[in-house]
Amino acid sequence: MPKKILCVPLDPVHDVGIKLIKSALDKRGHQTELLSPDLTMEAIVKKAAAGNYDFILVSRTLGYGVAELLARFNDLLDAAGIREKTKIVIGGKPVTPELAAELGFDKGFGANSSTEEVIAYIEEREINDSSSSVQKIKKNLAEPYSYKFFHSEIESLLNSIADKFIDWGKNKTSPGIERVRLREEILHAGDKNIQQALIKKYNDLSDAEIAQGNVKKIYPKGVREVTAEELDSLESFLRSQKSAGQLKIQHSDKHPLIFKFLGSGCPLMDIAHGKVCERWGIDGFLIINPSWEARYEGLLFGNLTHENDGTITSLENIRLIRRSLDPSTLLTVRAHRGLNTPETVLLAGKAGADLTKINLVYGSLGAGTDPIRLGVDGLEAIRLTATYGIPFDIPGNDELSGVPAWKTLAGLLINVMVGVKLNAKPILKPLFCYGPHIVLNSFMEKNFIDYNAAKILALREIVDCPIWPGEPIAFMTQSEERVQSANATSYHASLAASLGVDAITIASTDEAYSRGPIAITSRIDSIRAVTDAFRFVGDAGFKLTPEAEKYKNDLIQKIIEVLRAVDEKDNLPEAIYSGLLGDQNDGAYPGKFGAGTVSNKVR
Amino acid sequence: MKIIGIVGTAKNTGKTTSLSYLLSEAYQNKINFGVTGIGYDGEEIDNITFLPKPRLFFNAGTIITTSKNCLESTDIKFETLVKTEFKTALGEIVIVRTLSPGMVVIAGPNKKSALNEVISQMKKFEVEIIFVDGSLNRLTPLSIADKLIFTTGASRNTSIDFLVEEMKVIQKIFSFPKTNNQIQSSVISLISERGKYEISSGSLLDLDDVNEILQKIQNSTNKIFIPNLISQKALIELINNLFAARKNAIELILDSPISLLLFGEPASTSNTINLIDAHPINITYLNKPELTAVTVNPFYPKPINHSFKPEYIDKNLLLEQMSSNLNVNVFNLKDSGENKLFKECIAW
Repeated sequence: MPKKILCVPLDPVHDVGIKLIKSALDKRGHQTELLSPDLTMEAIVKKAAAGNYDFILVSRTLGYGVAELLARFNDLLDAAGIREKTKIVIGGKPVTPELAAELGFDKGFGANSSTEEVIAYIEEREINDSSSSVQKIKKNLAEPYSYKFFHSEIESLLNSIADKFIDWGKNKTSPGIERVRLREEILHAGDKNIQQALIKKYNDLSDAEIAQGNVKKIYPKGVREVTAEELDSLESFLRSQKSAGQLKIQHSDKHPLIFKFLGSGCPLMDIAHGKVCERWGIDGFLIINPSWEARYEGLLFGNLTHENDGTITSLENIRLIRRSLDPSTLLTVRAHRGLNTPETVLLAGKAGADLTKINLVYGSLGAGTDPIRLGVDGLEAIRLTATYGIPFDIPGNDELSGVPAWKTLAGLLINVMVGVKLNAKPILKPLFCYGPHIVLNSFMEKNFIDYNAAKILALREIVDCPIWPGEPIAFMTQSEERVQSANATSYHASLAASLGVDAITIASTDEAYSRGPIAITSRIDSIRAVTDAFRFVGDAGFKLTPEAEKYKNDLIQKIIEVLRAVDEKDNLPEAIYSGLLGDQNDGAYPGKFGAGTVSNKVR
Repeated sequence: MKIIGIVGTAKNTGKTTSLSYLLSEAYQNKINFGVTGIGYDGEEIDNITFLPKPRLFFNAGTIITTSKNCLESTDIKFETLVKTEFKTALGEIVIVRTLSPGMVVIAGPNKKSALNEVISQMKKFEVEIIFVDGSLNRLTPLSIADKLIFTTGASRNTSIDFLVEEMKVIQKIFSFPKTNNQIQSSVISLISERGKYEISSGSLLDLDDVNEILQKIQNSTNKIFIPNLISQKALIELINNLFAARKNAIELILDSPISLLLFGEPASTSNTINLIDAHPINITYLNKPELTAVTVNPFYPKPINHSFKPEYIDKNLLLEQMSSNLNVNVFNLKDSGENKLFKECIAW
């Protein structure tokens, strides 16, 4: 039944909101009347008394003294007997249910309220208090893709490279692989004594710094156990959170998912930041571990906190973060750095993480692990991603050292083909960055669009595979200034949206310059900037210049050249050692951690 | 059973502080009481200034009216006695009995008729006093109280002269008596020995209402009853026009002192009261709460760089000026006025 509604702008300037509501109510067939904003309270009361309205909607911005004015308005309506049959509603940016109640209104709508909520209230339908928010459904990034290769020569080269590499690794093992077997047994051991014996074996296969932590609780510098009190306080923090629902960053379903890093060192801090970011619409997080974790054989056990950058990827920490986040939030655990790559994938799978991160090339060149060791461990890790059904993303961050984009992209494609052959679901992660090689060669002299777009177009022409530019987007275009940093992120996000990629990773505005833990406000800065950018770009896009096409063709040609050279080598690690995927001139050095630890499997 | 309401002249004048002192004294004197509000108060942080505010502490066994949402955020145990039909911006209003001690945020019904209904429900639980916590400067629902405590202070205005003048006007408004007449009408009624004329509106708001009265009023009319709202401007029009051609006295029966308090600014209200005094008009009320006490609070939130910081005016001068100009008790609760305030309230 249509309602009779009086719309009262008590504010001479800010009456746009109430006009929008009026228009929406008119469309629904309600009988509305909008008063001019210059009437006295008594004149409004007179009008309200004569009109027999079902609702009076008042809009007013707040400042000191306005509360008393609005309370008096309600008093006048009450004294005039109008409230007996008419509901009085306030709308305005700072309005909360508490404030509406304090001022004496029957209902209040604030900055996060939607027009639909107001209409539902007027029509006396059930209102979902969080109807301005969305119920998220967890997305499987890999699902829509066939992993079909479109470029026959590249496909044939990759087939050859991947087959040789898989064959090369077939009979090899490493302490990392031995530990992953032990870890599986530890997790499945029913008998405590057997479990203790297995843990002892595990620690024997670990470096002293790790074993000492697991056995004697003497941890590497800056690491300590999270106390029971801290865990209790986390529980009470999580319990105290009102189920507020989530906002949506994407303006269209075609816009990419948005990921952020977690890795403050403290899992509790990560969770607090994660919960806030979830509320603002973040779709997923990547747990980043401390750089030293990659250099040691073995992983620490337990809920641990680390006073420097990087959160320790113990099973307990991943589990804690996973269960504290919303079930719809995607969680990625970085595995490809270092000597614990397969075990980290196992833990990610066991803890319910959704994705992991492996790049056999970048992990060897930019992150310090011996190429042979990472080759053997990486193969096992990729197999484990298939076992646990978790896609792995392949970050192309070697570009940041100075490696040319075509070498990085060739490396990503090798990982994709290896993944496909091992029944895994790889995700391409080319960088959206102003990398050193790009700077030196003036590829982005005219704009930041063509070259970034060319990478996506080139990969799309080669393979049907999910693409997730990272990591984070806008790398090396951000400055210390927060507005500039948020802008840079939002421009790159717009480009990603217009190119229709699947996901992007965004930095906080202080990420590159925080000199310590990232501030939560800086996280929100970039989320809000991207939300606005997506609203701005919508289903429109960027017009690339003819240079983009040239860059794309050039990239494909050079990728073929790199792959041809790699294919001439006996196996992938040899190609990495010989600098084909990044050499010293590119700022890339084969890593040394774990060198000499690979052995043949005992049959 | 008495209903004691707390009315503020503005936000942050000390309503919740006053109530909290009264509750603690009532507990000490082992009085069974109930508490309700007329909106929402008792939050930890002020909704507008973001400065800390006192919250209300209750012992087990207290009857409280509040909203369901407010009970969700409390740790106390309680039993629900009545689920009312009233809904507020914070959810359904319920009457509960506390089963354990603790802090509760009070959020009561937001209109007079609903407050009246809630209080009659609360009376069933053998309470000797019902305290009604005010909200901001809201007045209308509190016309049903037996006694009112006014809280005023620097948050209303930092000028002591202004505050004193305002309270003098309020005191004057409360000095008019309760009517001896029993009238039940929802519209303005013109009453004489011969009968009653009714006009279409329940409120006296503008010239149309004034003209309708002037057309229907007789020389024999000796009472005008206005059940709802009066605009100051319309009342002045009525007085000036009515007494241009009339000498007979008239009794102007209003719902309660709150009808005149709703005029707003004290200076203009004072002029209107003087105008009434200058004519043969006897103001009376259908409902007449007693002005029991005034509490003064030197605190005010001072706006600084887009936020607020606590600031104070001269507390001694405020108390002294207010006391010497009023003939009701004036207290500064922070200076040991609580005991006297309670005694003043329960002295019936």
